[in-house]
Amino acid sequence: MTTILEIEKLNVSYHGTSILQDINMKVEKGEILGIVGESGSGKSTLLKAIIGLLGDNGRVESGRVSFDQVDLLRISQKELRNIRGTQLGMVFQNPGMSFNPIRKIGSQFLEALKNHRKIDEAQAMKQILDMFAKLGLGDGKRILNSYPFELSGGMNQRVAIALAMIMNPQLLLADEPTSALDVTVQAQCVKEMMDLRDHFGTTIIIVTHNMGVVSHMADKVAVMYAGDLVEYGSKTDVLNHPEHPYTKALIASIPQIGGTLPKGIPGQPPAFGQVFTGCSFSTRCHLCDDICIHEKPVMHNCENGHTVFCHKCFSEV
Amino acid sequence: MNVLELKDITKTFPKNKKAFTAVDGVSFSIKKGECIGLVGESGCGKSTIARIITHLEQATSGEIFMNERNVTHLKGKELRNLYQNLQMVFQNPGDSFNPRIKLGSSIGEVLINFGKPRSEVKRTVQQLLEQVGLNPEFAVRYPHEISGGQCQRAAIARAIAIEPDLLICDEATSALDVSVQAQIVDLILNLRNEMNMSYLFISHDLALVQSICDRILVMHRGRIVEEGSTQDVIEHTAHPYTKLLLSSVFPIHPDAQWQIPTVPQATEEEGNACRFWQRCPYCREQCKKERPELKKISEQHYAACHFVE
Repeated sequence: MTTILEIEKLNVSYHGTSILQDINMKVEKGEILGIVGESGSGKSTLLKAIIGLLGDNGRVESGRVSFDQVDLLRISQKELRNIRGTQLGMVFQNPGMSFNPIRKIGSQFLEALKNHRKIDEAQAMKQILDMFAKLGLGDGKRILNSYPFELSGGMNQRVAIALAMIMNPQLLLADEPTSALDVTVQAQCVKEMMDLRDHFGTTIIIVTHNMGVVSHMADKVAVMYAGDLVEYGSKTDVLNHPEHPYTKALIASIPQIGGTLPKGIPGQPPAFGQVFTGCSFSTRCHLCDDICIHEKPVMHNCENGHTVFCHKCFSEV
Repeated sequence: MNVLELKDITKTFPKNKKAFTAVDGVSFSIKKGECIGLVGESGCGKSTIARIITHLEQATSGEIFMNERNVTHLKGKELRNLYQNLQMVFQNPGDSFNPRIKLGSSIGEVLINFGKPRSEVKRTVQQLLEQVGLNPEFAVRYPHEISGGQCQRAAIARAIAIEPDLLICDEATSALDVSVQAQIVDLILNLRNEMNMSYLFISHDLALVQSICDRILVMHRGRIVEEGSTQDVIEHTAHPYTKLLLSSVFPIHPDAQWQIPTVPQATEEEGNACRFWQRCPYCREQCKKERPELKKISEQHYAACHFVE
């Protein structure tokens, strides 16, 4: 397998407040990576940093994001614009907001196609309807002739996925694509994203706080807390045999059908930009010790590329 | 004794010159000390029910009883007195406080309104904050200075300040992270044991509801389609819609045997049909012509489907 995306020592800050610290990650071609964590853990920021949408406030302090041998952080805006859309697609959380409300869906699709390729309208329409058919969206003509507000939230999100996929990008970034949807619609959307990989071999990075979605979709799982990567590995390793106390506590706090009462994690998630000299989870961790407060945990390798950032997880075993 | 009883509540809203029925003949009751969960997809009318119970919205027809007293048409002073027994926690914790008033004053206001002497208010507010697990210092903070989870705790403190008989939680934990959600759920359950309050817990998260409630009501397009004890609804699910909801919850462990259910999309439809027939795998001719009523399946377990036994 070839590596399609490699992130090395990425540091991002907003207004000088550090949001992501030393993130290292590798994504193989055709893989689905799920990034989970609570709000404020920096998971959306990571996606925005990859695609260069941090905005005026955000700044990449250091690090490298190489996509297909190209360092996305060091190329010009023009080159980046070529890569976005054609090779990188993105789906946002709020389906209603990813479209222009005063233009029909069809014209927004045409714009996306015409910007990247010389194509006449009839051909473009055919291509769009093909994509709709592949994603199981019947009645494509009606959708193209609708305004975003005329479609339901779930439908909008599926159309947004189709728009992100229209140029057949190699990598799809999805930021909480199912969080605003009802459970039944959510299941449908997840199914369609998984079909994408089967049809096109698309690599997908999905950011979500829904462990269930990750458990079903992903091959690899990355757990983030307060801007740090705390655990990374294959989904069976991370979800069935979590090593980091945060991952364990997070899984225990999710209500499950037929399960026992969910247990909360004591304390509050760290405030925006809170600085830790040691482990960022130390304030809420039941294993916390002197070393946790004063020293940053280093990476521990378990089996099969399962990595954990914790001082304590091996002393217990 | 029933703390709350709804009888045949219907609410219609005007929509494009047509009437849209958001709540259609809903009846249920809540006993003292009971925790009832109301689940359903967005738009099924669960929040409308909460707003009708709290008189933020007037029902088109039907009657509401609180502690065996008809409160459907209360107004003015009598309505204000009703709120002594009835409080609500809203979805967005940040929006339910006045941003320019300190939390302590917001909570204290409730106490003053219901006749607590001013000299005792400050002390009571601090006790309340401690009761919901907040530092009493938070009384002098503004809502924007604290996190969402802390704000929701303060909202609960305000709601329980006058020890109501019934607390309505409308998606009270949906805006929170799971780790914080579990804390709030724990708090709600503790308060229930301490004060013997009744709860109406409204949520779209079936997994959450089944872990804390005694009884579950499942709503679909304005109607209750299944009602029963948590165990009955989860383990002996009767209605196909409840089955669909249950099977749409993603299991957390990757090796779980689970398939994504495929359901056709439904279109808006008038007429006297079962409102679920377009998405129902068991649909037969009768379902398209006749609307099923709630049928008794076993003691305390009801479902609105032609083909349940």
